[in-house]
Amino acid sequence: MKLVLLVEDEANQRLLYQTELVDEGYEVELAADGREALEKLEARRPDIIILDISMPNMDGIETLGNVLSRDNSIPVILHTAYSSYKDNFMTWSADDYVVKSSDLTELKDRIRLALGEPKGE
Amino acid sequence: MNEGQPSSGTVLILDPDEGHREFLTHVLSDDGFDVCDVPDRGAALRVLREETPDLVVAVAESRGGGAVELLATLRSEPEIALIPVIVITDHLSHDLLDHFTNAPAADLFQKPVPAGDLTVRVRELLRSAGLSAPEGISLPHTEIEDLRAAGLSVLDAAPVWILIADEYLRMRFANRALLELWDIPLSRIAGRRLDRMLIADLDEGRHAIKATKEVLATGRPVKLTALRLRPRTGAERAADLTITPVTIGDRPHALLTLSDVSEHWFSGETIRQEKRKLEEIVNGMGAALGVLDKDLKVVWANKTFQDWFGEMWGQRFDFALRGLMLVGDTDPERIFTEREHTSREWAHYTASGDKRYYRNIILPTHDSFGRLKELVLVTQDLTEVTLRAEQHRLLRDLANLLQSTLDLDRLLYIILTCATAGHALGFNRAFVFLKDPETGVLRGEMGVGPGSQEEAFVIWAELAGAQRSLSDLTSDYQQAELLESQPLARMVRELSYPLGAEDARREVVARTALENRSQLIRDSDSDPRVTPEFRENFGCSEFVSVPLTTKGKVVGVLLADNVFSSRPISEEQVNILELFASPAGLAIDNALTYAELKDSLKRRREAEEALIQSERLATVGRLAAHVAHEIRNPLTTIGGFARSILKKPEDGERVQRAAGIIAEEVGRLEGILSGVMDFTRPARVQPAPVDANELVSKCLVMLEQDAAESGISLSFSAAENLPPCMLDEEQIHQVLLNLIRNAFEALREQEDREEPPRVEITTRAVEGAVELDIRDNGPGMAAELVDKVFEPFISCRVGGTGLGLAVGRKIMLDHGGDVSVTSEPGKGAVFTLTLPLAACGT
Repeated sequence: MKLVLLVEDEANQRLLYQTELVDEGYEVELAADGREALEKLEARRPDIIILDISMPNMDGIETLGNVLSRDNSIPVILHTAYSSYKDNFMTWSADDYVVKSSDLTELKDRIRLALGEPKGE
Repeated sequence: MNEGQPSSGTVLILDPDEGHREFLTHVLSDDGFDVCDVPDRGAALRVLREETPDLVVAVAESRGGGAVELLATLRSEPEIALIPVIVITDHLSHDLLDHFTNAPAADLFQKPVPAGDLTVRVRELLRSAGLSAPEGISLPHTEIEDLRAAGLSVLDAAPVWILIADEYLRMRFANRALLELWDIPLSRIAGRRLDRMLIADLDEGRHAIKATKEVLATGRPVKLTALRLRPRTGAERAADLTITPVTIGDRPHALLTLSDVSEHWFSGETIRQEKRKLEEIVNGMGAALGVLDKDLKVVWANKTFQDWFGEMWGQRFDFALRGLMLVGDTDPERIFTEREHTSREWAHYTASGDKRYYRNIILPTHDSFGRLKELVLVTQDLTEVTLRAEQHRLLRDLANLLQSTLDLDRLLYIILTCATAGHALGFNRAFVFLKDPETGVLRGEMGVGPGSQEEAFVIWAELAGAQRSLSDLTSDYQQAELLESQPLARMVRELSYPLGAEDARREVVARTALENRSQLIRDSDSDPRVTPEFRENFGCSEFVSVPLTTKGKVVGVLLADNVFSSRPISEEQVNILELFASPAGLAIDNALTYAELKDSLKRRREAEEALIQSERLATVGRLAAHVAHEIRNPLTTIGGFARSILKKPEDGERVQRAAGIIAEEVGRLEGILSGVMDFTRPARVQPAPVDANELVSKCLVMLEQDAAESGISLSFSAAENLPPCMLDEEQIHQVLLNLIRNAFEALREQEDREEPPRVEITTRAVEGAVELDIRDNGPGMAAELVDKVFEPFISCRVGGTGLGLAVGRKIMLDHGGDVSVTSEPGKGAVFTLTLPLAACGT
């Protein structure tokens, strides 16, 4: 079972993605901000990281930099409400960029793609 | 010579004719005189100087020769000057007599000499010279002796001055009164010619002598009046002279009687002089003086009166000058009953449009019974005085008025009104040309004045009726707009003159501006400075053109004329116009500068507004983005859970949880919306006096529980005696709650702290406001955040809308107050509210 590290500052969203990803058959580790995400990363290496950008304390982009400096082999998907971050070249180093939507199909597809899994459903 | 007799005196006889000499010697020796005879002048002088005879009898050669020279020499030598000389000539003539005028002979005889006459005369002369007549000589009974005997005492006693002259105008007698007047002995005048020097006035003297000759020639008496006599001592006298012909010893004589009229004459003269003086004063007093009878008819008038009002003798004064004089509004009968004088000022326009000011003073005169006799009317011309006063007032008023506005059109109207209205300058028309600083062209701007002769008369009549001040006149500024449509204003607006160097010769207005000098055109038809087009446009033959300057720079030209009244433009009017052009130029310059400034200010404001607009758009953009972001998260959550429910609707627990989250997220959405609306909704401030300390206390009650649960110490130090503030209590309450809650949030989020969390609130009075601090010892803010903290959609908190502080600031500004913050990372933050005082209003 693949381990997904979900970094999201909003509790209800965290709950939503957790529920959906567990349904998809992933094991989900949660972090409320970048700092917590790095702690979790230290503790256990996930197979993929879903990273929100707009967060207090340490935002997604800063977190991305830290993640890559520790282990650049873990795929990272930036998951944000803002499409404008696409212009920030820091985001280019992420494996994928998904704009948040209530329809989680795209996110799930990108996770599978990043993990090299066949397209489902 | 008779021996033994005392000498009657020594007589020197000068006679070239030996026979005649012997005759004379014989006659005189027989009569008891010592006689010495010589044939020529040289011998005579020798005897005179050595022996000093008492008397000389000199026989003149033909035409007076010898005797005249002898007399002249004699009179020039003091030792012998007083010796009387009797001259005997062949022929007595006036010509000859004139020879003796300067060196008079004591007497003159013509050959043949009557022996008796000669001896009598010699004796007389010697007696008056102090020598007594030879004793024992009986006086011959001649006519003169008879006269003397009979009348001398009477004549001497007469209260008139009497003088008798013979046909040769020799004085033969003067009475005592006359001798006293002249203070001279009879001997000094007897035989001397009637001397005009006795009469003070040369012309009168000649006149008297001429009259005497006339009397002697015609035998008819003559009377001369008021001759002035010059006594040796004492004041000048005046006398009437009566010359009567008398015959004494067959010879015609003249009796001159002078009666003293001094007292009468001098008093009369004084009156005449006073009268002349008075007439001069009355005519030269510069006031019209008239006397009116009870019917107000002019019975007398001085010259000034006639000059001003015309010949009015016998006319009724009020009828002739109806409407002009005070009697027009004063009952004439009342003037007669009033004993006091009345005084009234009045003004009228002459046919040429000149305004004249007069003051009438009417003094009733009464007879000795107190009945009114006549009215004395004194009319003073106050025009000059009034004019001066008006000119001063005008210039002062103008200076004030010019400062009252920066509106160019209004200013021009004031300037033109000043030049035309009222009496001080009183031009018929006036025009302003202004120099365009960019194109350098002098352009007609405004014209003021009647459009026609008829209109001019109507206006003058109105002006004569009502005394209106300059500010009254210029307050009719609405009329300026009417003026715009008048032909005069349109005409002037169409005129423009370039101001190139070569243009000075072309047009008088351009010349005025270029030379910066007034131009007075007396006759535009013949003046080379005026072009035919200009004449045609303005239609006036005389006008003045004055530069309007400031700081030596020409801003325009003022042109004025008297086209309707044709009154000549005086140098003084030009001077005043020049005087007035200086403040006018300054004011125009100010107005132009102001207009320029206003224009650039307007442009700047427009630019600012554009900026603000774009700023506002940026805010709206930010608002849209913010709303989009803020909404996206909850929408994602809501949508996600809704799908989750759809996917497994049978899982009750899952549905329940999802629905709870959906409800929660919807609540969040609503919160976002209301925050956005708070910010955009214009808040209506309803201020009332509020005590700031009380306001804080109410908030703290609501927050105590929250603070206690979070372990935050909340304290309040209230300043005493705070002045009441003018606030919408509910709105400020919100702001305060929001700020304190923000502080709580900041403290709660803080992870590593050195001291227990606390929030302190303090109030204090400052000048014109109350300040309120909310101080926390939380994490503080970075400098860049401090700068932006009040901007909308900036939040440093998880879950904040980014609107709380922005809304708070808007409320404070709406109140006329403010909110500010000071903070440093790690050192907490202080928010300060500035609350306006009640006394300052909202």
